[in-house]
Amino acid sequence: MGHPSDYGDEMDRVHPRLIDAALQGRETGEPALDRAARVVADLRRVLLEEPPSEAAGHLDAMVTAAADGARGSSVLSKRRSGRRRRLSTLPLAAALVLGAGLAWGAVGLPERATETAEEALGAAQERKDAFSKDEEAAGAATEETTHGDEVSAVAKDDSLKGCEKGQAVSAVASSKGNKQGPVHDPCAKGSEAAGQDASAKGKQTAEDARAAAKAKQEAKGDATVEDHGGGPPEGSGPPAGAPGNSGSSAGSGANGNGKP
Amino acid sequence: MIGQAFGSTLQAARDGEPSALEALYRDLAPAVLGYLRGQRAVEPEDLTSEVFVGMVRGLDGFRGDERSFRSWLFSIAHRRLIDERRRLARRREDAVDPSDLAGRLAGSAVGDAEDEAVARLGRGWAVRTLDVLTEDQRSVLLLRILADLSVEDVARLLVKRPGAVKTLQRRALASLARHLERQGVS
Repeated sequence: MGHPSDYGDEMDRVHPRLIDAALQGRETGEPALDRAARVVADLRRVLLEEPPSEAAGHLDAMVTAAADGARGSSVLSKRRSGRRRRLSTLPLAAALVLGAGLAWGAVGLPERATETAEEALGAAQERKDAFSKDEEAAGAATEETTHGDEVSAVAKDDSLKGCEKGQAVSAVASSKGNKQGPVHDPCAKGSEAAGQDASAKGKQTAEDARAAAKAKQEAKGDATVEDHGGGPPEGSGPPAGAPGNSGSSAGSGANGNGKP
Repeated sequence: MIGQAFGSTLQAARDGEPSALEALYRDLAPAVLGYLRGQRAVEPEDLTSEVFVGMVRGLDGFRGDERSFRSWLFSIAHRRLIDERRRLARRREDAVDPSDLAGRLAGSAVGDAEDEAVARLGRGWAVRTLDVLTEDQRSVLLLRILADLSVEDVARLLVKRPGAVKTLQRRALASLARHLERQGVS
C-alpha cells in the first residue's frame, strides 16, 4: 500500500531541521514543505484544543482504578506471599524432618547429636535462604509477614511434639536474624529422662533373658548355666551398639546411630 | 508539561491522590484524545478513559522522567487503538468516525457540499487530510506533532528503526504537500 509522492525525492533533500520545523507547524521557506506545515498546524490546533467532553467521568474511572489497584496490590501481595510459602515449604519440611530425626537420635548423645542436628539444620536453612533470595528481591515489604508465617506454620504443625517442636520453631524463628548465641538444647533434659527409661528397659530385658536362659538350662539339667546368660551385668544398662539391645527403641536411639 | 513538579506528582498519583491523577490527566488527555481522533478511533473518548485507567494501573511499574512518561502513556494509547481495531475487525464492523459519517450523510454530493458539511464539524478537514497517509505515516506524524515524541521514542513505540521513522515522516509531509497541491491549496 503506498502513496507515491511526487515530493518524495524533494523531501529527501530537505534538511532535517526544516522537517522538524514543518512538524511543529512553522514556515520553512520551502513551498511544498510549507503547505504540509499548514496542515500540521491545523491538525495541532483542531486535535489538541478540544478537551475531552467526558473528563469528569474519566477522572472518576482513574480514581476508582487507583483504589482498586491498592486492593489489587494487596491481593497480589497475598498471592506472592502464598507462593513464597509454597516455595519455602520444601526445604523447610526437609529441615524439620531432618531436625526431628536428629533430635530423636540425640537421646543418648545429646551434645554431639545436637551439634550435628544444628549443622544439618543450618545447611538446610542456608539452602532455603539461597532459594528464597530472588523472592526477597520481589518485595521486602512482605518479608516480615512471610517470616512470621513460616514460624507460625511450624508452630501449628502437629507432626512434631514437645521439645522437638520447640526446637524446630526456635530454629525457624532465629534463622532470619542469623543469631549466633549459645546453643540451647531444650531436649537435653528430656533425653536424660529418656536415657534413664532406656536403661531401665535394658535392665528388664537382661533380667528376662537371664531368667529365660536359666529356665532353659534347668530344663536341660545343665549345671553351668551361669556362663551362658548372654545379657549384660546387672545394672550396667544397654551398652552402645550392643547386640541384643535392639528390643528397645529408646535404646537403639541411644547408641548414636541416629545420624544420617 | 508539568515540569519540575512531575516527580512529586507522579509519586502522589502512585499513592492514588486524586489531585495528582487529575494533574496528569489535564496535562496529557488532550493529546491522547487528539491522537485517537486523528487515528479515527471509533470511540475516542471511551478509549481515552481506558488509556488513563491503564496508566493508573501501571504507575507502580513505571520508572523514568516526564518525557519517558509521555512516551509510555502514548504506547498504552497506541496499544488500545490496535486492540480496538482488532476488536472491530472481529466484529466486522465498519469503523466510522462521526465526522466521516457526517460527510457521508451529506451525501455523495459534489466535493464542495461534502467539504462544507465536514468543515462544520471543525476538525473535519485537517483530519480527513490524514487519509492520504499510510497507517505508519499517520502514526508517525501524529506521535511527532501531537505527542511531541522524539524520533527515537516513536521508533521504540512503533518497533521500528529511527531511520525508518525519519523516512516515514518525510514521506508523510510529502504526501500532504502533494495532496494539498491537488486540492489547489497554495
